[in-house]
Amino acid sequence: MTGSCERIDIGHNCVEVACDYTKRKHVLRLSSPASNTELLLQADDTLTMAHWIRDLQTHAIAQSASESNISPHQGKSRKLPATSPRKSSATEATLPPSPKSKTWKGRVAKQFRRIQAGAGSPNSPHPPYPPGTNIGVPLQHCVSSTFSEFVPLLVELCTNVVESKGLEIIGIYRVPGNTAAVSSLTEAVNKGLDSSVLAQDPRWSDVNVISSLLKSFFRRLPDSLLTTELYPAFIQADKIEDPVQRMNTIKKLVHELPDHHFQTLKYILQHLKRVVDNAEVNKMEARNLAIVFGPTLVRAGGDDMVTMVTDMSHQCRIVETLILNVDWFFDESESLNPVDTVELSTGVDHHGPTNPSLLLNNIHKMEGIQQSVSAKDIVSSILFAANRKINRSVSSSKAFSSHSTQGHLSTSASTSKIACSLPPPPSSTATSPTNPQPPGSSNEHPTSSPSCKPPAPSPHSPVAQCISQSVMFSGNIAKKLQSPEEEQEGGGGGVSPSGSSGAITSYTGLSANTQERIRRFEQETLAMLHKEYKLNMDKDSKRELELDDKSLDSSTLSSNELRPSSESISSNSLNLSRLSSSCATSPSPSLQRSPRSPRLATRSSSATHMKRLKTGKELENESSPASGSTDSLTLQDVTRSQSQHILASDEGSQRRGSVTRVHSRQC
Amino acid sequence: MPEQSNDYRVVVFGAGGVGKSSLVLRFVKGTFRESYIPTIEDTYRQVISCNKNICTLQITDTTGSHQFPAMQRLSISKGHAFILVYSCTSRQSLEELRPIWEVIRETKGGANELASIPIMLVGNKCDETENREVSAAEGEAEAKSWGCHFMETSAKTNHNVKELFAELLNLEKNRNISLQLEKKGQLKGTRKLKEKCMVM
Repeated sequence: MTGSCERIDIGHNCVEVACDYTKRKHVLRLSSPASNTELLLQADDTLTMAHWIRDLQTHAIAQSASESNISPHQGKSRKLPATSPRKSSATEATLPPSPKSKTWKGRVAKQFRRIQAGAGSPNSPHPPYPPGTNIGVPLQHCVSSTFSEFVPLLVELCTNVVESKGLEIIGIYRVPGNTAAVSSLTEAVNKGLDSSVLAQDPRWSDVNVISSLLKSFFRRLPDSLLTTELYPAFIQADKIEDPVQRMNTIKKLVHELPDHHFQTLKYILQHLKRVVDNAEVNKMEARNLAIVFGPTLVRAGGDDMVTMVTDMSHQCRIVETLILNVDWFFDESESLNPVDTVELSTGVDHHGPTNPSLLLNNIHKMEGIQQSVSAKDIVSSILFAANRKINRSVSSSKAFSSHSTQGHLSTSASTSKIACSLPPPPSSTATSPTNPQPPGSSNEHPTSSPSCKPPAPSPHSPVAQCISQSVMFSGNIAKKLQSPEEEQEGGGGGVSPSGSSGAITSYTGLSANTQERIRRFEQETLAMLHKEYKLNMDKDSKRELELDDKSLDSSTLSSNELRPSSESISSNSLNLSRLSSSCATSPSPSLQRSPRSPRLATRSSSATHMKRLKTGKELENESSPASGSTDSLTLQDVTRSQSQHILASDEGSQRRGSVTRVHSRQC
Repeated sequence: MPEQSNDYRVVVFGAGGVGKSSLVLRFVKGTFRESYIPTIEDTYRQVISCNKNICTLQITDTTGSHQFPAMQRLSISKGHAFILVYSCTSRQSLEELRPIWEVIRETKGGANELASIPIMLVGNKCDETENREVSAAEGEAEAKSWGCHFMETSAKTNHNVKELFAELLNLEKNRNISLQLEKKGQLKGTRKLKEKCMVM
């Protein structure tokens, strides 16, 4: 501190992290547009810096609120009841004598810099936040609501409008308000939030405008509601397969949020819950709201589109989870770690409805079957199992011969293999939909799967047909591709019979048209596989030679893995079909047994949810061409290169990743 | 990035709930759903053929619920042709399209270039006569002022849906006659019945 220890007007200053100042770390900037000065302060660490920023901003708010009548240098009294009571004593105009200053060590550099604002300094690229601004500024900067210092007043006002007028409007939060009205209202709000004036503004009565304003508020927060800092952790947490663990992790993360974010999140989620409670009228279920709010509330810093697209399904799922379980997430009394019954039921309840419905969408698109309970169970089980198996086969593909290399490169092929090798979960769910077996038991009779043989002369015959097609794809391709793998695995004996028989018998019950479609699909798939096989043979031949010696060992290993993995699949199928509450007591046994499972689980769930991103809109009674199943089988490809899907769509057919859908029209 | 000649991208824009997905699904699958599910983003592919070559018609169904300018700009810069959908039952939804159209105009360059880009303004839900807020004439006038083409559709009753896409591809011939004529000519007649598995 040199002779420049003059008084600094915090109220008129804008506080921000001096991220463009790279010479030192943890530097924050106090810039005063009025006097053209900038003050760079260095803190010990990020945390200290964050504290400083928060405090300084709070002061600025308090002062700006009172500045209309009182000179900034005496800004001790506050006009707005909304401002923080906590900070009232510290509204001094000088650099705050806050207790935190003690934590600054003597060596901390305090640099005064006077920079002419007109000089175009690179140090001030960010526009300062004018006092009273409510949109586009950090939460801490916003005027507080009437009930909590941490929740912005604007949020309170908007949610009040929506709850009083908008709960019964179809598509509330989905249908945008008038853009011009929203932007002019944004301007008005940034000039000051006087609720009595705003109440007379006709734009406040347009619920769609208000809902858009609220969304815009959250979207324009410099730091997203779930914070940029915790964003990666949230996304990772959402990828946890075990529902209980996932819920617990998310809850823990939520409680790590800064006060402002935590309280605002709590408030907005409670509000959204009330919207969802009226879903019968407004048609905005938790999932719909999550699609609308997910990318708004949960976003990474910056405009990284790849991240945005890649994580979008997770963003939505996080928000959906939060909305559905808002009471549990914000119940602070409950301890986080012990898995008690409440948490269990919460986790399973949530997981149940989400995943099967996603898969179901996919299925309906595939076969256009009518909705039926066992249809859901069977097909979603197959698909889910298939996805998991794909992951497994990917991870252990090096161990297999060229055939399995081929398989893992072509998703269709690996999916097929799986569908055929894993009839048990579907069969158990189909035959005893209300009386689920424990996860392990269904596994022990892999070949007893009568329901896989089509077509059952029952009300569920479309279902059976659907299954048979799935199995059949698997059957034919598997016959050609899988035999080497079976030899290696040794334990695959129980697998192959069911696979091939499925392939043969499944043709019988189908219409000629369907059969034709399937054959064509198989032919094309095989042709494609063959092509790819050739391509990859060259690449892989060297590696295979090297791996040749090891492959024996690893194949043994993989056969050991087979069982745990399929157990986990069956348990998951049961979970998915919401048949079993007993499953919940032993969630994911596979996680302990199979060393690879955690990673696989992550991939699998991401696959599932990417799927949702693609097909979240399908309806039960759609009839669709067989290519729909192609779509579902190429799901994994989509996941593997999601970024390519949008960013690199130019590559089109050259990249398997961009093969999102192949829809053919039935003319 | 080199232009892929056998990939033709159509992007569908519009406010939330106007029926973008319904239109696309009606065209791609011939079905209509009553459910109410917002879209994040979907891409549909349809194989069409042009002079014995396979050409992929790629239809991107965008979200109307949350518009991230960056996403929008990306879609626009990638798109070859655009469908701007509003709902005849909501004047607001028509007004929502103006900023999108302006972004398209900015992204796609000058007036000459813009004129060569197929853009269709579409008033969907034209079957809902009771709730109609925007008349066909108004829509047409708006389209004229934007310099794009206009059509009223109903995904529910399957009115004008196929025509919409046919017309859109038809417009493309203005830009590159030799290439686009094929597309147009082939659209209805020789669309392959056979589904293509594109796993590479």
